[in-house]
Amino acid sequence: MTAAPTAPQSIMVICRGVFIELMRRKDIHVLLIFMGLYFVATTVVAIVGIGNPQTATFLLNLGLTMTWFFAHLLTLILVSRQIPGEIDNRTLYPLLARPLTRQTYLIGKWVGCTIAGVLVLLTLGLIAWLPVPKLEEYNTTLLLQLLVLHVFSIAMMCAFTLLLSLVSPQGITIIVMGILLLLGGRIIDAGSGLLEGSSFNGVVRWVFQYLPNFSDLNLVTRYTDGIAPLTGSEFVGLVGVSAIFTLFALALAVSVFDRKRL
Amino acid sequence: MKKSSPSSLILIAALVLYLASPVLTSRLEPNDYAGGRSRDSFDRSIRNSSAIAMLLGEVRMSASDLIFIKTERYLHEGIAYVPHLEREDLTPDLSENGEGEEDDHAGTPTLIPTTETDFRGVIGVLHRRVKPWRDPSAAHNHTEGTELLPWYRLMTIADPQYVRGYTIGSWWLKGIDPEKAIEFIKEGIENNPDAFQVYYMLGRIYFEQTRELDPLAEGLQIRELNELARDNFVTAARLGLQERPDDWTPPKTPEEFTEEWDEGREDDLRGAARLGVLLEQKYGDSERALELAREYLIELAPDGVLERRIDELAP
Repeated sequence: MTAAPTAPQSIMVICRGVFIELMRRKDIHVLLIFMGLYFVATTVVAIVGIGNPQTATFLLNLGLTMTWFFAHLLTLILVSRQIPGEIDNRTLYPLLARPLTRQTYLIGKWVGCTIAGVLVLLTLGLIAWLPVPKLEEYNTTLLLQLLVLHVFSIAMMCAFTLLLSLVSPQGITIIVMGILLLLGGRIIDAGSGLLEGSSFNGVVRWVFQYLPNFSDLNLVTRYTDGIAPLTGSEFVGLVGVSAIFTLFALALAVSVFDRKRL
Repeated sequence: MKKSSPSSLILIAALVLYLASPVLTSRLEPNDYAGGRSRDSFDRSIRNSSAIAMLLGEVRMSASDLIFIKTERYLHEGIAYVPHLEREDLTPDLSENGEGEEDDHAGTPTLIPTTETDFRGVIGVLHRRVKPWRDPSAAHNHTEGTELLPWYRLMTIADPQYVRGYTIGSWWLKGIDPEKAIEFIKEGIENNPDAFQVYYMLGRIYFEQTRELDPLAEGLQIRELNELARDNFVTAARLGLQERPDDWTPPKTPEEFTEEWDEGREDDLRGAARLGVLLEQKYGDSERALELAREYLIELAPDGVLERRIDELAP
C-alpha cells in the first residue's frame, strides 16, 4: 500500500496542473505574440538608430509597463477560472475524493498560479528589457526592488482573485480585479480625499487603505525616470504590506472554501 | 471548550494585521517623488515629436497628453484640427492694460481632409458630413470653455505633475468660480512646488480679481489681492530665472525658440518679472521695486518694460 502524499507533494501536483492549463490555453500565446511584435519593432528601431535617449527611455517604459500589465492580466485570467472551472467541469470532486484537504488544494492553486505569473513576468520582462539600448542612467538596485515588488504584486493578485472567484462569477471577478489593477491607486487617492475638510475624513481615508494598491508596487516609471531606489524601510514596508494583504486574502479564501457547499 | 483550528488562528492573525495595515500603507508613497524624466517638459516634448510618437498618433506618452488633445477638440466644437494650441492660445494674453489678444487660427488643417486634398471621393464627403467638420480656411469657433473643465480635472488626476493642466484649467475656471480656480491652482503648487508657471498663474488670478472690484468701495481688498499677486509674481520670477538655461539668449523670431525653453515660458517669466516689479512699485516699497527691476534686467535684457520701470523708479 502506498503512503498518502504529503501536503508539499500535493501542492506540487496541483501546480503542475496549473502549468498544463496555462500552456493549453491560448492567452499566453496571444501575449507572447504581442510582446514578440514589441521585441521585433524595438530591435528594428535599435538597429536603425534611436534618435535620442528620451525615446529609448520611453520604449523601455512602454515595454516594462506592458510586461507589468500583461503578466497581471494573464495571472488574473488564469486564477479566475481555476476553481469555478473545476466546479463546472466536475474535475474538482475526484480531486477532493483523494487524500487532499480543501486547504491544500487552494494553497496549491495559489502557489501554482503565482509561480506561473512570475515566470510569465520574467519572460515578458526579458523580452521588454533586452532589445532597448540603455542611453540614460537607470538604477540597478531599483530594478531589483521593482522585480521583487512585482513578484509580491502577482502573489497578491492571485490571492485576491482566488478569494473573489469563490464568491462571484468569473466575469465579475475579472472586472473588479481589472479595475483594482488599473485604477486602484487612483480610486484610493480620490476616495481618500472625498471628505477633505470634514471630521470624517480620517475615517474615510483609513477605510480606502484597505483596497489592494497594485500601482504602489509598480516602480516602472520611477525606474525609467532615473530616480533613486527606495530606502530600506520603504522597501520592507511595501513588501510587508503586500505580504499582509496576500496572507489575509488567502486565509479568508481558505476559510470561505472550507465552508463552501460544493 | 472548543479548540480553534490552526487555519482559524491564521485567519484571525491575518485579519488583525490587515486591519492594522493602514498604519503602514498611509505612510508609503513610492511613486510620489519630485522630478523625473517623464515629468520633464523638455523630455516630454522630445518624446512627443519622435518618430515613434508619430506612429502612435494620438496615443501620446501619457494620459494627460491625450486628454489635453481632447480639450482642443472640445474647444473647437468637436472639430478635429491638427493639434496647434499652446498655453498662450488657451489663456488669452492680458497685457498690462488688460487688452485681450485674439487669434482665429484660420488655416490650421483639419484631421479630416478637405474636398481638394481627399482622395476618398464619396467616402470623404460622407466623413465630412457625419463628423463635426469645418473648412480649415475659416476662422475657428471657440466654445466658452465650461465643458473643458472636467478634462483639466481629469488630466491633473492622471498626472499631478502636469503643470499645463493646472495653469490652463484654473484660467478657465477663474471665469466661473474664482475661489475654485485659486483652490485648483494651489493644488498645482502643492504638487509642483518648483514650477514657476503655477505661481505666475496664481498671481494672474489674484491680479484679475482686482479688476472686478470697485477701487473706491473695495480699496483695501484690492490692495490685499495685489499684494498676494505680487508675492506670487516675485516667486514665479525667481523660480523661472533658476529654471531658464544659463546660456540662453532670446531668439530674434518666435520660430527660433527651442523646446528646451519655449516662447510660452519666456513670456510667462517676463510677465512675472514685469508684474512683480509693477505691483511692488504700487503696493510695496519703491526701492525694493527698483532693486527687483535691476536684478531681473540683468537676466532678461533687453526688456523695454523693465527699462521704463527703472527710469521711473531711479532717483
